[in-house]
Amino acid sequence: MARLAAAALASIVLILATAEFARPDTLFVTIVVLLVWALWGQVELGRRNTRAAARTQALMEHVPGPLPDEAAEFLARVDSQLELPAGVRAEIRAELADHIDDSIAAIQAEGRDLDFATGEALARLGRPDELARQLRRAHRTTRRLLAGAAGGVWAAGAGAIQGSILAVWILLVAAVVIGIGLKPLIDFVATHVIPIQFDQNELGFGTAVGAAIAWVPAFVAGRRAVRACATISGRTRNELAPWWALAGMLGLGWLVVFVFTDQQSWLVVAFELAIPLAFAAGALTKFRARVPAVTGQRLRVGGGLLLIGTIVLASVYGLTGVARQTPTPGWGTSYTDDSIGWNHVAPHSPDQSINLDYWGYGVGDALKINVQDPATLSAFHDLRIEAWRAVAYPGAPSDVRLGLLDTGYSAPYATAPALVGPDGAIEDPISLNGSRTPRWWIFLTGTGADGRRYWLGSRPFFLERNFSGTIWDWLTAAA
Amino acid sequence: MGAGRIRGQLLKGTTPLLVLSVLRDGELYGYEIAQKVRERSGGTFAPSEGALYPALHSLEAEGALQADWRDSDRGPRRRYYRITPKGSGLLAEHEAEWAAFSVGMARAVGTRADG
Repeated sequence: MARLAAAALASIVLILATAEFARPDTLFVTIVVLLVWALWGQVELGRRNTRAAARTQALMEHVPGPLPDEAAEFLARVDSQLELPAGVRAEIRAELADHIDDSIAAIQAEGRDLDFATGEALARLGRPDELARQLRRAHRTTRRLLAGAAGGVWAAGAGAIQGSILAVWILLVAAVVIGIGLKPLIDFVATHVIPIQFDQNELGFGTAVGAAIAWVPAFVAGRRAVRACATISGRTRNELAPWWALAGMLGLGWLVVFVFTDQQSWLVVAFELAIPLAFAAGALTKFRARVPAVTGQRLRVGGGLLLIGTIVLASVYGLTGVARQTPTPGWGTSYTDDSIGWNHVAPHSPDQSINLDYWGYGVGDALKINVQDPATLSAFHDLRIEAWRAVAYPGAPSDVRLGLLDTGYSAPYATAPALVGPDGAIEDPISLNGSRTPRWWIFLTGTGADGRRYWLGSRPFFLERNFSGTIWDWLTAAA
Repeated sequence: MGAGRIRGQLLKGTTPLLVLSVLRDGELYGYEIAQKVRERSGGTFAPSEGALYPALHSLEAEGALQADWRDSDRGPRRRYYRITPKGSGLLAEHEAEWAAFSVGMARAVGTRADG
């Protein structure tokens, strides 16, 4: 009955998680169910840890009597076949050693010699392989496995929080080391050895750094999940690790590829896809050192230092993590139509009285064009908005938002009729979804009385915004 | 087919019942349990000691038994088992099943013997 209920629960979670995960109400229910399930595992973990502590204490005080070689070999044979956690194996070994000891003593008390008594005592226990098999089965129940999985999920969550604190520490140390200690070296290498521009203003750079920070909690989560699951389920870490690695790859992989919406670039894609790999690495890596517990005094001291470090960094870089920009000559530079490629689209309207304002610089901002005096458009018909791909302006500083029209294309990526409102506003005029291109020139064009199409206004609008969506959106988008 | 084999087959599945029944009177460690079963049955039942520990660990995993390491009367530490309320309920179920089985078996064997 318990197995049936557990299987039903797991099925419900699976169905909710896969079929209707996106619905907010279903998501809430799913999270609650998962939390309850994981809490059950956590309670089991607490019980097992209590038992393990008592067991360790008992085994430390346990002094087994010297056993004949034949009995020692028997126990070693059983032990080698158990495939259970080390603590459980030690307990079984001690218990069986006691039993054999008692049995030999009792048989000897009947007047038999040690060799006979040993053989008889071992014969009563049966074949060591069969004994080990039965003991293994006794410890490996489905209920314990389900509890182990639940405890693993909980431990992974706790490990992710712990790993996040660790990651912020690593980031702070790295920022100090790179910013102060290694900056001269990096500058020298970038200038004289490898001509690279390592610029934090680069599109998607911040997102990639965020993904890299997530590697640490993912690694710790994988490690903690396997440890907790092994303790509860009675399985060895070696057995469980590949399954947790696979589950992490599938679960986190699904989240990373299909759910997380972010600014995307090839760098971000690579860094985010490494998050499930970090979880798998944490699950599969074998080392004895425990991740230090962050509790009590350490938490207060760590939190205080973290706050100070954050304030210091924020005062230098700003809260958004983007370096404060100083005005550069690039903004004031005058560019001719030909130099940027605007005339590739259409000739500029000779009517210079059309004034346009553009809005929508941010990633999430809707594009809006405001025609200051709609009457100035009366000489044109078939008004439309055209979006043309652009490329970075060669030689311009990276924080100067300017691009050349990509003349490799003979047509715009997207066009839409320009619906000018009574107040002169053209709201959300065009959709640029489905393309990875980050730089655009947005034109308002119209056909004049001479039947020719012109681009209108004093200048078109240069739009630079990173691709925002899931990795799947990015991979399936047009170049 | 020897008598020992028949006995083994008949005893198959009865180890939990035997274990729980001897633990009803108080806590015991593994070797004592085996001895107690043998004594109580007058030597009729001699459960494989190899089946004893898997049964004990299974019952513990089910919550029917609780085990603790403690000093024994003889000195060294032993792992003592005691029955839990859940184990008492399980024992009652096993006893009822066994009673029904033994009555039915006696009737069946008796009918066949008479026929």
